[in-house]
Amino acid sequence: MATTPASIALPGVALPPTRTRPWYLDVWVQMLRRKPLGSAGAVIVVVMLAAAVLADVIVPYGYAQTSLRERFIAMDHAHWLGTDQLGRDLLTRLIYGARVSLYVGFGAVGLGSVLATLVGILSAYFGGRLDLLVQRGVDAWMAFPPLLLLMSIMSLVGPSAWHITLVLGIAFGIQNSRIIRSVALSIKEHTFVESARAAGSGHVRIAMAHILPNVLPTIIVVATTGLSTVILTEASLSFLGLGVPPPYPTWGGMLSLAGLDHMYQAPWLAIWPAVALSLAVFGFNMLGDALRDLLDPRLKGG
Amino acid sequence: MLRHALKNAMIPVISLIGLQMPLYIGGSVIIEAIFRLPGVGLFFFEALSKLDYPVVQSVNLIIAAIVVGLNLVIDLSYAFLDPRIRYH
Repeated sequence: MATTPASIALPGVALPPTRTRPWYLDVWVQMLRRKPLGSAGAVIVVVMLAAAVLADVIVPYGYAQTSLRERFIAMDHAHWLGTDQLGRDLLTRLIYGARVSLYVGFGAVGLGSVLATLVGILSAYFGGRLDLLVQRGVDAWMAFPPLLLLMSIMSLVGPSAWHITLVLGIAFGIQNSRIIRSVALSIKEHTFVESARAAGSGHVRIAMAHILPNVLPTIIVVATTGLSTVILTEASLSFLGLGVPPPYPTWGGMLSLAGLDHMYQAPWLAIWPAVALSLAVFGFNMLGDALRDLLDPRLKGG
Repeated sequence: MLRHALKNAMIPVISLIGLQMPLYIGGSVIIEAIFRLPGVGLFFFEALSKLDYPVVQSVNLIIAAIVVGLNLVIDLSYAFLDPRIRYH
């Protein structure tokens, strides 16, 4: 195995004569060809990303712009998805909610992936007493139900978008450092690591140039499949009032503040945030599944 | 079949129970908060909103103890389900 990840070729499928594409572009081409569902997930993710980034440009209303004369409109040409109990446009709030969800999701997963990689590789590479110490710490963390622990921490530090990103990121990092560690452990035993050591490479160089590139596919898979979990957890915490505080719209907060209270007279207030949340989770799961099939050489099929 | 197949097939099932248990306890907190079901989850959630930290800590501790104890039982039951697994 070279230091770059193995090329993603199906057994029995002839390789194209010129392989000039780098592996990260190749993954997308392969996915379009072989994983229609994963591509659908990617499309959902891209649309959500575009909506979140362009939120200020594409929506005609402000997310906190109230209009008491237009309360509880189900659907009309001015408000495509209706309005809530204060006359705020639901579509506008959904789009801004996507921004929060993606901001927290990507922030937490990015932070968590860096943390998991750092802890996992350190723990696997040095082994011995450090490994034992770190892994018992991870064990202790994993004994607590994650949501219960997150709720306790969030109520301690107080609700804000920055806090929830930080807390979810750390939780994500601790949990997934176990997976990174197990992969790094098996890579550490390969002969190319030994030969690098024999050639005089230092610890940092071996970890960065030889172990990290081989762990990278696993990190990508863990991150994409973890995104949906993080978004769902953020929605749960916001639902309970422990996430991003109210004036800013979040899907979880919209479900509890508008949806739950007015579920019978205005069901669309509960339906549309839930649809958005389900779509986002579905998209990220499909994307993660497809990426796992393509990037993990041990799993073929699906 | 009950005696031979079920016993061996149970091993991945019960290890999954141990892994999923904490997740569902977390989920039950939310369900209890939505539907006002009087349980540990609602108790925990109300303690949180009142910033009653002794209660929060003890609920966390008790549930963690239950999870750890359950995992111990599960680990020990491997030996019962598959006599080839022995603990020394």
